[in-house]
Amino acid sequence: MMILKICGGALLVAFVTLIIKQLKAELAMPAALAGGVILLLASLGMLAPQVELLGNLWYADQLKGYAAPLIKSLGVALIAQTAADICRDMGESATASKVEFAGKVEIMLLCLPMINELLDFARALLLG
Amino acid sequence: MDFDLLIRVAGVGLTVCAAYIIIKKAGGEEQAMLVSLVGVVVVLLMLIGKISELIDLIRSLFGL
Repeated sequence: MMILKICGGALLVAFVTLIIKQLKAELAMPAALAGGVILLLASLGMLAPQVELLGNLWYADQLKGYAAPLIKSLGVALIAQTAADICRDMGESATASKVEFAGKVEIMLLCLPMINELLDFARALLLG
Repeated sequence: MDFDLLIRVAGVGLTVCAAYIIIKKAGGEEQAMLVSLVGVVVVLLMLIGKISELIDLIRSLFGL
C-alpha cells in the first residue's frame, strides 16, 4: 500500500514545514517544495503503468492519433498545476495565474488538430 | 520514495537558524543576513536536481 507511505510522508512534510516556518520563514518554502517533489515522484511511479495501458488501448485500433494529445495534455496540466501551486505557496498568485493560463493555452494548442478535424467533418456533413 | 532530502533540508534550516541567532547575538548583522541567504541558496541547489528528475520523469512518461 503506497498510499499509507504517502500519507505518512505528507504529515512529515507538514510538520517539518511548520517547525521550519517558526524558526526561519524563508526556508519553509524549500522544505515544502522538497516534500511536494518527493510526493509527486512517488505518485507518478504509480501512474506510469496506467498511462502505458491507456496508450496501448488507444494505439490498438484506428483511434491512433487521439491518444497522444490526451496523454500529453495530462502531463501539461500536471506540470503547470505544480508550478502554479509552488508560486501560490510563495504568495505570488499573479504569477500562478499566468502559469495556469499558459497551461490552458498549451493544451488548446495540442487539441487544435483534433478540433480542425471535427470542423472538417462537420463541414463535409453540411455541404455534402 | 525517500524522505532523505526533506530531512536534509530541515537540518540545513535548523543549522542556519542556529548560526543566524549566534552571529546576530555576537553583533554581526550583515554576516547573519548573508548566512541566511547562503542557507536558502544551498537548499535550492539541493532541490534543483530533484526538480529536474521530476520534470524528466513527466517528460518521458507523457511523451512531451
